[in-house]
Amino acid sequence: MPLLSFLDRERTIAPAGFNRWRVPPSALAIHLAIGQAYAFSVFNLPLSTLNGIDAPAADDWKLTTIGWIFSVAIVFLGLSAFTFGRWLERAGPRKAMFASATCFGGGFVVAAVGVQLHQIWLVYLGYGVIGGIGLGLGYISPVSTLIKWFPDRPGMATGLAIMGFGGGAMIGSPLAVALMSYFKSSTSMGVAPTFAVLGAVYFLFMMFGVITVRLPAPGWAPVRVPGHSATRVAPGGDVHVDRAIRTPQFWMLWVVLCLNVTAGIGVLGQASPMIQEMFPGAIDASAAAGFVGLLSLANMVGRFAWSSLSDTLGRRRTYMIFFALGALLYALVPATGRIGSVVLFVAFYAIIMSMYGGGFATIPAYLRDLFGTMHVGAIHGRLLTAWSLAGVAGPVLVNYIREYQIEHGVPKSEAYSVTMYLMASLLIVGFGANWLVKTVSPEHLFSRGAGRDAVPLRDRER
Amino acid sequence: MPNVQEGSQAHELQPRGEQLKVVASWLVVGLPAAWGVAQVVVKSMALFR
Repeated sequence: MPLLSFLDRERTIAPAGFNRWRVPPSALAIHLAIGQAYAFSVFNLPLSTLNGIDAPAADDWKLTTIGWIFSVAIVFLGLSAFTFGRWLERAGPRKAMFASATCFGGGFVVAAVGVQLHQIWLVYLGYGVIGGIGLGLGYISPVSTLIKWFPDRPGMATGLAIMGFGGGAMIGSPLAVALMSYFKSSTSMGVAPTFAVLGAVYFLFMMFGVITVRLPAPGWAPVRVPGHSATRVAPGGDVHVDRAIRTPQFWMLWVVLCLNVTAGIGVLGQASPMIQEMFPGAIDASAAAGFVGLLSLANMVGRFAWSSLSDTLGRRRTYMIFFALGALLYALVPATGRIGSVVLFVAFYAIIMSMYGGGFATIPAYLRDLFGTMHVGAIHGRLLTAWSLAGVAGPVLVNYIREYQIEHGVPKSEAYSVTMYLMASLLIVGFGANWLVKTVSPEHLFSRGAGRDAVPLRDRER
Repeated sequence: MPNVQEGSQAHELQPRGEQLKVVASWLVVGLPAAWGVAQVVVKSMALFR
């Protein structure tokens, strides 16, 4: 079929004269769309009053039930990135991005039917399972493509794409609120039609990325621009994904990502109540919402800024800064509460969140430095399981410790201090893990200079 | 032989249509992103009032 052949890897090879700066927008189209996942919480309250409209009715879904929709989506993000990473390398980015658009958009439509019929399992299946698979495929496919286009600036390239994932909520949240407001009536919260419209809009937006994405031709290399120095870290060679996950470097980076995300994600979820409780009387709900917005912005900007800087500083040194500066700032945050300095508190958290985002965006370039570009998408997919664990561990740690402190008589304004010191400790452990990351031993390298169809010697003999 | 050009010198070698495609691609993703960022910036102002 013509459509299916259009998706083939061979059809995505860029013609002569193609400008590589056309590829980052393709990646951004995917990441800006799937980044909507971070804005799913805007649906929580409307979903809890689908029948009661003004207030929850007896048969309405509880918030705990609704909370599982996002959790299932994140779990399937990790699972699909893990499972389909190798397929992506074989099938090429266009096919993977099309599958992602179909799953993400289609997941919304299935979830819309679930909301209309008031069947929560259909919403879990739609947004959680099908949409989650779209998230995982969409997250990894443009990243490995950009690394191939920008071998001289891999950090900047991956930062551009992953910045989109951080910024997706900034579009998704106000868009969803506006649509629900448009569709809301005296008998409906407007969630089902909003889901259906979002499914169609995101599918079309992602199709822009599908249509425009290109792979560099074999042997292609960027032209050196006078005055611009290439990245200081060049890959030593390619490592097969199955071999990569058996190296200590992979698992050290797994720990690095897991701890960096754990330290950031828990606090991100609690940002609004935290600033209000640490500065009682000084910060109201509206100002707290502004604080959350500012953290999202810092998270997004940090993804591009830190990963671009890593091209000059080197990946290892960049993570050293994340962990050392992060630990120091976390340790100082309780003091900002004690002296009542909102400005310092906001500034410290903005820097922490920029490094949280920077950690996500710099890791694919770190993988490329260590394991080469051949299977970087598949290796990245496997590393993202660290995110799945951190996504559960971070919020649990923050919430549990806060509850424990309050139950034992600690004032709310000081209930976060232990959490901050714990986060600082986690970052110190991360510093150690990053310190241990060394160059991959040549024994793991895979037929240097081989093409994408190369297979390991042991597989070739079968 | 590289088949992709970039930088000021290289741009002169590229057809004008290719440069327009670059600009158009960035506008497609840049405009919604700018709208989203503006929403957040406006919301964040509440923190400093």
